[in-house]
Amino acid sequence: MMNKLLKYECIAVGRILVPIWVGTAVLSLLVAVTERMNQSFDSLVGTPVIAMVASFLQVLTALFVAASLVVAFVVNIQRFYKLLGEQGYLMFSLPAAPWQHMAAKLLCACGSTVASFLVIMGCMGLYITDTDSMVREPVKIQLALENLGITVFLVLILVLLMVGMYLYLYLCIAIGSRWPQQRLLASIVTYFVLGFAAQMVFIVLMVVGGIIIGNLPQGALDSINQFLLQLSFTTPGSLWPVGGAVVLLLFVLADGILWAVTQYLISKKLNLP
Amino acid sequence: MMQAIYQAKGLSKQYGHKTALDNVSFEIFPGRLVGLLGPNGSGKTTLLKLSAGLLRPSAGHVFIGGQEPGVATKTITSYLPDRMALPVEMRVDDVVNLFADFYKDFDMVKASHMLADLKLDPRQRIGTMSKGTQEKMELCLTMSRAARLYLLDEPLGGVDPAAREYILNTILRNYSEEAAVVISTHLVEDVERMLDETLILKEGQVLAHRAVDELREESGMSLDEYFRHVFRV
Repeated sequence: MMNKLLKYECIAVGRILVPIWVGTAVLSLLVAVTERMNQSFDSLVGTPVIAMVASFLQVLTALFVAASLVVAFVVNIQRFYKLLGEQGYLMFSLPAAPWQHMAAKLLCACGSTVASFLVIMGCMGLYITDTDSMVREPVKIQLALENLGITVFLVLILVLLMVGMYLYLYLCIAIGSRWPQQRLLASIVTYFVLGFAAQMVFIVLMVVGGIIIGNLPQGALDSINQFLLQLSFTTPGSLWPVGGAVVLLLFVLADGILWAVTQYLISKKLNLP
Repeated sequence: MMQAIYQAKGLSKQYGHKTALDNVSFEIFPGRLVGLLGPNGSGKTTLLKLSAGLLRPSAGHVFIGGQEPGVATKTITSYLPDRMALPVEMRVDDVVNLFADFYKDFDMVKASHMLADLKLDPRQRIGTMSKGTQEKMELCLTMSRAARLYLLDEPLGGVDPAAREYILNTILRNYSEEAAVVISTHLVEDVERMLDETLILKEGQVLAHRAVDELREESGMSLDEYFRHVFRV
């Protein structure tokens, strides 16, 4: 059932995104061609025309690049919003569990966002010349074997952030749907209220943590310092993986909480308009 | 003895302080065409939404084929909501394929014939159809399933008399003898001739659940007259 839901989700999202991706690719190709023509005919008559066309295409490409990301984000959020609207009468009548609807939407949202990034990177690769070393060099350094660990860590963090971002918006929409007459307004208000509440909780936790550490006996603080120093001396570089794993776990935990609450709301408290 | 396809036991639903359904209990057996009648706000849509698994009861239980609403009951229940739920951006054949993909009991040939009767182009987008055609298409898809229970919420709402005739004939022609049909409506006169039973709701409670012939005999009135008599303001 999950595969079928995913299939229809991808078709619905692809119907809008694929033309934008194709447009971005075609425009990037045209930019690359006009750029090279501009360089080749640099000293010949007529260059301003080519330069003007190249500039126009660059602006258009930039718009398509922006659209690839913005539309991917908006369409996916809109899909979830519609699920809790009138389309929910059709979708929740299908023999699939609510979590499957949510998972299909989330997978498609993340997949299409990543695909948009890849399309943009691929398109940029078309017109970035060898002289653009300021772009190519950092990428080469990041992908070098010795930096692979940190690269994987950063990619995982980005993926978890993306998942968290979508889940947070899903949660706001699910809470907003508790007020069927003013769903959109309620979802937007929830977005700000929840965001403010989360910040307050974070600040309180930081303050409480600071107070606890500040009141620890000197002996305990010395022991912690000694342990960390010992760890960094005995197994050099071991603090990074441990710290990284803790950060990743915190992100997974946050995403898990967002998932669980949203799933509870759409399975136990579904309230279609 | 024949098993009930549908059972409601002490079913209640509250929206905040408002009680939409209050301790409702009844059974429906296969092969019966049941009119779920009542004025606006009597709890008809809530009852059907609970049965379709779109709402959770505040108290009590619903059993369809012996199971509480969930994935399993959705495979044997064909539900027509009281509003247009088909995605307007989809084409006719996309929606037909969606139904065929998700419901094993969906009869593609029957659906194609019914949609051809409506003179719908398979490539036509749903958003370009008139409201009446959208509703007829939704009904055709719902009735193209060989379900064991059909839950039809206001299938006659907001359509002209000619379309009502089409809708009622579509329902009558397409449900099997082993299936039960529950039609919610307040247009009693239109459905009276086809009903076996009537379940009348008043302020969230069951006012009457009888065979239509019995009710006519006892009251000496047609179902429509009885309905008007009971709900006279």
